[in-house]
Amino acid sequence: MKRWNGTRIAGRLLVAVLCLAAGIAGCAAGKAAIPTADELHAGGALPIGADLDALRRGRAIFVTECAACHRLFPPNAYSPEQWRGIVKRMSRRASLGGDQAADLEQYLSAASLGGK
Amino acid sequence: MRTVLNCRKYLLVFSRHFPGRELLATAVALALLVSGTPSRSFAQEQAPDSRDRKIQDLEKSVKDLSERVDEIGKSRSPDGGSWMDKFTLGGYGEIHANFGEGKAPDQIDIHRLVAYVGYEFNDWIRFHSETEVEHGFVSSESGGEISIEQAYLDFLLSDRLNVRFGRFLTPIGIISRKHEPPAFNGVERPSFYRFIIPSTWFSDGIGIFGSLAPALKYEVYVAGGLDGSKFNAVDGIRGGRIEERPSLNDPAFMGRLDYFPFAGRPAAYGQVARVGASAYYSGLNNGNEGNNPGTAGNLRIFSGDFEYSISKFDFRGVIAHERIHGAKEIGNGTASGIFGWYLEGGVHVFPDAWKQGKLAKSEAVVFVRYEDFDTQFRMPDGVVKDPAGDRTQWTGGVNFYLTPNLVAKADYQVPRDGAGKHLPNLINFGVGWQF
Repeated sequence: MKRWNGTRIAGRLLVAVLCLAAGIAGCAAGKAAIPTADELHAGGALPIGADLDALRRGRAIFVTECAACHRLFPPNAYSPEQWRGIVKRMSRRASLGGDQAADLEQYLSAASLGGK
Repeated sequence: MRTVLNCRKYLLVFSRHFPGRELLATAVALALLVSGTPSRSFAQEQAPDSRDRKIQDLEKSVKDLSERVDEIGKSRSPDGGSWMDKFTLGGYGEIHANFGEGKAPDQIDIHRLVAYVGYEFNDWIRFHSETEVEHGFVSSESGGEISIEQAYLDFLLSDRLNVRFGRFLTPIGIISRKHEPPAFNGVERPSFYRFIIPSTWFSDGIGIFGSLAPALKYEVYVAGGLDGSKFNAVDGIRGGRIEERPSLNDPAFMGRLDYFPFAGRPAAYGQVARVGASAYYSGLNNGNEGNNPGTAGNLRIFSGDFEYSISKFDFRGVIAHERIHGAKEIGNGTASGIFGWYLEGGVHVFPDAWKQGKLAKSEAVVFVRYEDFDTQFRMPDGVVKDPAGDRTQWTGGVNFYLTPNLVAKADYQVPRDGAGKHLPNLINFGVGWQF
C-alpha cells in the first residue's frame, strides 16, 4: 500500500514538474516557427499584391486542421514545391475544401520562403 | 538510326499523352520499332519520301490512339480528370516486441496493419476508409481481427457546416484523431485508451462538423449506441462497443469542441495549442444485428483534453468522467462512476547539427507519461468495489523518427493496481509507420 501511495503522489508531482518545464521552455530564446501573415508582411517576405486575408486563413487552417492529426512541421522545413504536393495529398485526407486547400498552400509557400 | 530516334520520339509522345502508362508506351514503341525497322539493305533501298510518308502515318496513328485514351479517361471521371487521380491511398502499421517482468509472456506482435483508401467524387464529396488487421493472423481461435475502422462520406458544404455519414471514430479524447504510430509517444497507446475511452472506438451514424470561427471547430453526431450488458468491473465500458452491426434502438449522441488559441495570433517560440471538450450520451439497450439485451440505463461521458507545444517541448493530457445509470442492474461489478486522466511531457532531443544528409528530417523525443484510471471510481449501493479496477501506470521512453513518418520506439512501463499489487513491469520496443 505504501508503494501505491508513493506512485500516485509521484504522478501528481509530474503535473508540477511539467508545468515548470513549460515555464522554462517559455523562457527559452527562439523565433516564431509559424509566422503569421502580418509578420511575413512586416518582414517584407510577401510579393506585392499578396492576399493577406488568404494567408491569414491559410495559417489558421495549418494550425487547426493539420495539428489536429499530427505534429506540425515548420513551414520552412519544406520548399514551396514540396508543400504543393503535401497539401494536395493531405487536404483530401483532412477533407479540406478547394478554397481551404488553396489558402493553405498559399500560406505555406509564402512562409516557406519568408520563414528562412 | 533515324527510325530508332523516331521510336524514341513516339515513346515520349506516348508518355506525355498517357501519364502512368509508361509500360504501354514502351510496348507500343517497341512494336513500332520492330514493325517499322526494316532490314538495313531494305532501308537503304527505300526512298526518303516513302519513309517520311510512313512516319507521318505512324504519327497520325499515335495521335488517334492518344485522343482515344484521353476520351476513355474522361469517360471514367465525371469531372474530366484522371480516374486514378481521384483516389488517395495510404496506411499505417506497427510491429511491437513486448517483454514482461517475471512470468509475464514475451511476444512479437504485428499489432496493426491498416490500409487507407480515399476517393474524391468531386470537389465537395469525399470518401474515407480504413481497414485494419490486428495481430497478424485471424481465425476463430486467435486474438486477431479484421475490421472496418472507418468508412464514411464527407459532404463539404461550407467552412461552417459539413455533413459526415458512415462509420467514423468517436470524437472523444486525443487518440481518436492521433492513432497513427508516428503521432503518439510510446510503443502501445496509453492504457487510458483501453479502460476509460476505448480505442479504437468507432460509431456508425451521421453528423455535422465545421468551424464556428477560425480558431473554433466542432463535431456533432448521432450514431448507434453501446451494449450496456457487456460492461464490467475492470474493463469498464470497453466491451460495450458493437463492432459489427450496432443497433439504433438506444442511439448515442456525441460531440466535441476544439479551441486553438494561436490560430489567429502570433505564436512565439513555435507555440501550438489546442484545448478540447467532448461529451457522449448513449442508451444501453443495444446489441448486434438488433438483438438488444434489454439493458435499461444510460451512459454519460464528459471529457477534456489539451495539447501544447512550445520550443522543443510537447505536453498533452486528457481527463474523463463516466456516469452509468443502471449499473447495478447490469451487474458484472459495473461501477456507476468511472474516472481517469493522464498527463504526458516530451522533449525533442535530436541535435540540430545532426539534421543533415540522410538524417535531415530525423527527430528524437524523450517522454514520460503518468496515467491514473479507475473503472471502479463510484459504486452502486450494495456493490463491492474491486480494487483491481483502480490503477496507475508510469511510462517513460523514446521515439526516434528516422523520417517524420517512420518511427522506432522503446519504453518502460510500471503499472500498479489499487490492491497494491505489483503488476509486471514491461519493456516494449516497436516500429511504426504511416504513408
